[in-house]
Amino acid sequence: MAVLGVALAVPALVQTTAKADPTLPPITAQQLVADVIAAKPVAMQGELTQTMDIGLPEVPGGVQKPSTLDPLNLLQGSHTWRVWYDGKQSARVALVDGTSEAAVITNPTDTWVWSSSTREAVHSKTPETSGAGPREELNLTPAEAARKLLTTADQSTTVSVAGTTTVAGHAAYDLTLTPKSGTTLVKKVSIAVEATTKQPLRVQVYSTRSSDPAVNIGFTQLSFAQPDPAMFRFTTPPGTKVTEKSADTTGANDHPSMPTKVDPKSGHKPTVTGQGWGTVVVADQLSDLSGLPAELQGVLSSFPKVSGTWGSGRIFEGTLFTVVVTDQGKVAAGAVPAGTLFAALG
Amino acid sequence: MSVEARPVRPFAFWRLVGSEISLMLSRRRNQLGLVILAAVPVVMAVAIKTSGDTGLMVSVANGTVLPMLALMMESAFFLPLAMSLLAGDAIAGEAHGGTLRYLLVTPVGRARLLAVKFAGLLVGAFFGTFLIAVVGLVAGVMVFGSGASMTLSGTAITFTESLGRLALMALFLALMMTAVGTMGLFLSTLVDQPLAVTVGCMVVVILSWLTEATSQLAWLQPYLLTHWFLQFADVLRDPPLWSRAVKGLGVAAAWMAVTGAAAWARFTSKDIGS
Repeated sequence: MAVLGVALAVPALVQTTAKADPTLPPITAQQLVADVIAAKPVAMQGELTQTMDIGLPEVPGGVQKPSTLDPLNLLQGSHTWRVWYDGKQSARVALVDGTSEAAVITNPTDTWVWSSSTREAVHSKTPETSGAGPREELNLTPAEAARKLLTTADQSTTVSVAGTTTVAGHAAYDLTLTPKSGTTLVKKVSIAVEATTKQPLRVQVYSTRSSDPAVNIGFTQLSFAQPDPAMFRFTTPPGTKVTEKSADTTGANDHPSMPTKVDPKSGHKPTVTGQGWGTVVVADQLSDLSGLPAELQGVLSSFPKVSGTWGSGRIFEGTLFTVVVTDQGKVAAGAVPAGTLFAALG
Repeated sequence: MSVEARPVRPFAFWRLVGSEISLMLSRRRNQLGLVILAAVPVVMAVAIKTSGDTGLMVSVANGTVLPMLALMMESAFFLPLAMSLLAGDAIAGEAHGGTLRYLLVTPVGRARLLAVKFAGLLVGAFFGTFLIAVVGLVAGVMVFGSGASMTLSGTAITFTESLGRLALMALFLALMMTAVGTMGLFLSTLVDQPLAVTVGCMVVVILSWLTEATSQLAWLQPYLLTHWFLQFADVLRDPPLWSRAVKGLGVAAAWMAVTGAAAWARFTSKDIGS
């Protein structure tokens, strides 16, 4: 019956259909990793979706959820991005959630951060770069996320090619990183590497606590065509508030530090215990908790209280990492279960 | 070749569609509904003019932004409510008023009568949506002028181009509202109480909105009509983002096919005594 056909077609319209995995020439993991690192950046334009389930409480917002580059927003829930990249130094990355848009536009001379909901544009001079590598603003694309992971992968990780897959219509190898350490919350990291250009198209991070990926960032539409150069220019529309910024504090990065970050201005060095995926960082910089931004304090006080031989404090137990903030202002964090942090706090 | 009891009379169908539409427009409560739909952009124009800001989408740079904001506001509740009322009248209203059996005496089969009712709802959806757009545009141009505007991506667009984008938004929303109406049409074939249809239809819409705000039900959201209502804002990006709007229309088409077929199955086999 036609009706039944249509009803069954709905999921296909809404979600990507599960296709048979493409047949690709076999490749060793080492060769694939080398290819990825050696791969030249290529021009691309497309759409990405990002789904985060790292355990942070989600702020319900539904379709009205505004597009904001605030890290607390980007670390939870689902987001849609549009990306244009010329393969060299120009890029436009736009967050297109709800009925607003937030974008970073960068070209060899200027960098703009635009927000449609506040109608504000932040302008800065693009810093000179020695190499032609993509800059920090692009670290949300799978390309950069995967490259960072691949360069830090060492003997603590089993790297294998788990098979092939299709991402946004492109055949890809499924490069899988599995931690050797049994102490970490990270079960595996799966990176879909495009067969010919060796560009990472999707990154999925799996937790030992859930069968669905805790982090899933991947293209839903992708073309390797050179984007229109006009995409890399930005002319402030009338009625926009423009803020000029010096080049070293561009846009999306100058947000309040997350608890896992350590204040670089402080003289104390954080203590690092464990290694590889089981690394635990203990820092005591936060001697005064009232110095935290109010937004972060609110988040902190919503976390459950915890105590042990090491003292007492608040704990965040996510799917991928755990953070303990003691009442004395010590912070312990790592991609490990709570018990490992308590031991490190000793 | 058997002599059919129902001769092919194409004019009969269109005459019925015409009378359905004129009947719809002549009802006092429908006229009042249209006034309410049209009043929203006018009220918004006054409110934005006095408070000076929208905080909703983009700054009001020209008159087309006002109807866009009005469509956004009314898509949540008023437009679905209007469709629920029309759907209640469609079959259940006729049955309640005792006029349905007379309609069935006309040389038009039940399937065709249902098609007439669907056509009426389609026209109603377009009429209501474009009324908001046109009234909003007139009010918007009067208050904010017809200068250049901007997209959500921060690029300037001319008044003519923003008119085109407004038309696309209204078209998208009208099709979404037709899907709401078709769902209501199915409910209308189930009961003889128009009020029950209106309530049932709004229950579905409100439950959909609640699902939208519940992150645990995220898996269900893409199947709901309300999830895609505001996707018309993607038209205001530069370049327009089509993928999600097209998905939304696909979902609306599926709702129309499923509920439309269910309405047909029910209506053609129903015993009609009133």
